[in-house]
Amino acid sequence: MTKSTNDRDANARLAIAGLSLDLGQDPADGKAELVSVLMFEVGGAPYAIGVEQTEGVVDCPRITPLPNPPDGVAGLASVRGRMTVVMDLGLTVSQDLVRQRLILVKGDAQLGLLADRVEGVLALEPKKVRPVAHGKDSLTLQRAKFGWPARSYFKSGRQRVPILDLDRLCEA
Amino acid sequence: MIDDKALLSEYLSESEELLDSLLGDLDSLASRAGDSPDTNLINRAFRTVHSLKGLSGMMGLAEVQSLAHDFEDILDDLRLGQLALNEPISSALQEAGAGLAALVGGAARGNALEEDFERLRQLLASITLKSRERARKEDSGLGLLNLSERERALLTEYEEHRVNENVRAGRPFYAITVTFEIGKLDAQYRALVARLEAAGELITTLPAKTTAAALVGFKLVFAAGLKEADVKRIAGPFGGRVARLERSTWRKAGAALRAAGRIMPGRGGTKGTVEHLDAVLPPGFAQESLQPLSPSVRVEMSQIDELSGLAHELSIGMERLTSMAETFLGAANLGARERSDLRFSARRMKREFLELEERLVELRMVSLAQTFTRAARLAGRLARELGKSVSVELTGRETQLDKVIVDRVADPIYHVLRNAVDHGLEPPEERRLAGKHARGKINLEARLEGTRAVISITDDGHGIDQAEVRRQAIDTGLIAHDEALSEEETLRLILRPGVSTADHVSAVSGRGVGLDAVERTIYELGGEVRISSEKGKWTRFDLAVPTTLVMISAFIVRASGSRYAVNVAQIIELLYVSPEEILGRDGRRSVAWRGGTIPLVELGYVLGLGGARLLHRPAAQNGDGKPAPPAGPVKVPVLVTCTADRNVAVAVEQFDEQREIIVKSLGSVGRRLKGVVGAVDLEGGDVALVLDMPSLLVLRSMRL
Repeated sequence: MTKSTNDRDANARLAIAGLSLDLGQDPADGKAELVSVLMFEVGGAPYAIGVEQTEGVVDCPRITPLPNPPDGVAGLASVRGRMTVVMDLGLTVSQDLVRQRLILVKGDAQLGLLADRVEGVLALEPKKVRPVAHGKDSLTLQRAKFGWPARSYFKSGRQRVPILDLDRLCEA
Repeated sequence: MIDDKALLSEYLSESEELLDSLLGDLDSLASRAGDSPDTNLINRAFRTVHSLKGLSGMMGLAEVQSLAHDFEDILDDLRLGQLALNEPISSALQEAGAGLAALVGGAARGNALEEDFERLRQLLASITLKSRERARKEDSGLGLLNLSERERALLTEYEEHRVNENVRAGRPFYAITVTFEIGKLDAQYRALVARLEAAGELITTLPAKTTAAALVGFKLVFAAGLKEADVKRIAGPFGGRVARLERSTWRKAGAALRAAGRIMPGRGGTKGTVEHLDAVLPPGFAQESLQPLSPSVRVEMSQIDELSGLAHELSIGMERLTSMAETFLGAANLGARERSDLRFSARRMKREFLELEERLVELRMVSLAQTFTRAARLAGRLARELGKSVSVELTGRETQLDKVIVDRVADPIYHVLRNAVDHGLEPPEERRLAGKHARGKINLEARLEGTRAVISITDDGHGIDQAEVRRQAIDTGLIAHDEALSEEETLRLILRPGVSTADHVSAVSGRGVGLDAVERTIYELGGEVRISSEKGKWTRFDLAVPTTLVMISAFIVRASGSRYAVNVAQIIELLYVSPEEILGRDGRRSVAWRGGTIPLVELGYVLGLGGARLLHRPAAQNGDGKPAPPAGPVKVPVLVTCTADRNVAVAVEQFDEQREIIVKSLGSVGRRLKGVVGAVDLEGGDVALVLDMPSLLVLRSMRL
């Protein structure tokens, strides 16, 4: 499968999930190397996640609290007949906001990310994606910078938007 | 004949895969008969038949097993070059493979024909005869090689045969000496081997001396039709030194002989065995057919999960439809007959959906048979390596668990088994002195206990010395020197890193690492590890794991504002307790129960969802229509459950109801939550966590 069909699939999936797409650039315009990320906002801060790592976006159902939850885990919700562990990136920032959307993450971690707003898919040129840090303590650096594991980021205007590292997120 | 249907179908489906692979390999061999045979193919066919033999033996199909054994012998001869693979032999092998395939199904179903057995036996015997006729008269080519006596002794019969084959083919031999750092050993060695195997034949790897302790040295014996410079080019990047391995005098003699045509490069095939075999080649096996052996289909787990999800969606849609129908019924002008028809249909569909979900759950269930058989074999092999003798008895291997659990529990089972063999069982002479049979006994047993499966591994070795465990735990600072522990608590200490029951450290176990990993894996599955032992006599490990994803009967309770499901099999009694009956305070409450006193904890506290509520405060309001607690002063709803070694009263806010639930997995992140085995969908989009009381309470047991 080529990259562009991948992107089309992802767009189709998001469209089905009820998202309005706000594409920075048409990902299917023949530039095969574009990186597609899903942009969303938590607690006023922008975040991004690789589109191919997501399964769709739904309205967040009721969240059931978990005993002794790991950091960032808000609780459990039943989505499409599957138990989803709901993560709230804004948990450490503000607890009052009502987060409405749940981004479903692929994989057997059964994770969902809470978002105040899902903005859409952005196709980035790879050179705009910059690594966060190298070396042993990069996770610490990532956390210090963004509060959450992110291996890379890109600049949108003056703002640095972290691209979340899901493998690390699952470990955290 | 195999009576157990599930076992039969598993056997057939696995045999079928093996036979497919075997027939494929035999076909490939036949298509190349006459050329020098592909040793990889023969080796693979050999392994396949070997597995088939083991599998048949395990199923008690002695006749198939014995035929597979004969077959295996032939392939072994072929492997060792004692039988040449010419056309008649290879077609006889194809025939024999087809015959074996025909017999497997028949034997398993109990309708195999005696004459088919006989025919295959004769066919195999006639091939074997060919092999025996060609007596082992290979002159060893080993003498040609510049290897020390000790090195020569390290070569296996097969490797020796490969040396001979290469001598016959006139290929030069090289010794490649390399040293690797221990840390990089694995990757570098593998890379070198891959390069060599692409260019020629790596016959064996011998140990070699090194200068430093951090280095590992090897001498690789390599044969290839390459010049020394070419071999150097391959080995050079790995720092390998290359030398010709033939003794120089022999090298000259060999060249002279080859020139004189006395030793022909190429195959040493035997011709002229045709007529004899043709006479035995059967006209075909009566049961041979194109029909597949097993009627089963292999399906990806994820497909089953998708189906389950879909069925669930459907059943939720159904519920919605039913409630809408109820509303319309009220509005529409319908007769009593229509109303009851509609209700009846709705109820039936609901039942059928439930059954559908249940069936889908069953699809995920597999038996422990394969895991157990493998574990037993590994234990036997390990015992031999350690100079011990052991018989492993398997019970309950037909016990069915979710596939995911069977897969995950395999490592812990083997780990405990390895411990049992390595330092549970004494060496034979020590056993004799202790008045035991020299051969140790290990029981590997699975049984269902409520909704859990308990896998027990019992050895009749020297047991666990509790005093010694205690001493080590004090030494390593795990417990205070005057800390009073129950027997169970003391034994559990061996699960902690740094405490070991081994009086020696071997390569296998005894370093005091590993059992904590076993416990962690079992906990992650929502299970628990129990240990019991009698010094000098036996040790038993119980690995209790949920069978999960089954329907369980659960009691729903409320605590800290949420609902929780508790497996009814884990509830001994439901009580309402008056506040006056509760003794002690804060974290150390207890209550009188059945003539004794048992500890009392609050579910909310155990779950870490808030501190201890004042128990005498009124419980939350009862829901509509729920049975109210007995009249009089407000009482606390309490369920009595049982941990490994004691009963515990758990106070909740409210009793809800009992119902059948399907436990859903929480995924790989949720699996790390202790004491929670899954969750269940409740009406209105609510979710209740399914608790596993014993592991939940064990986690908090020190505070009880």
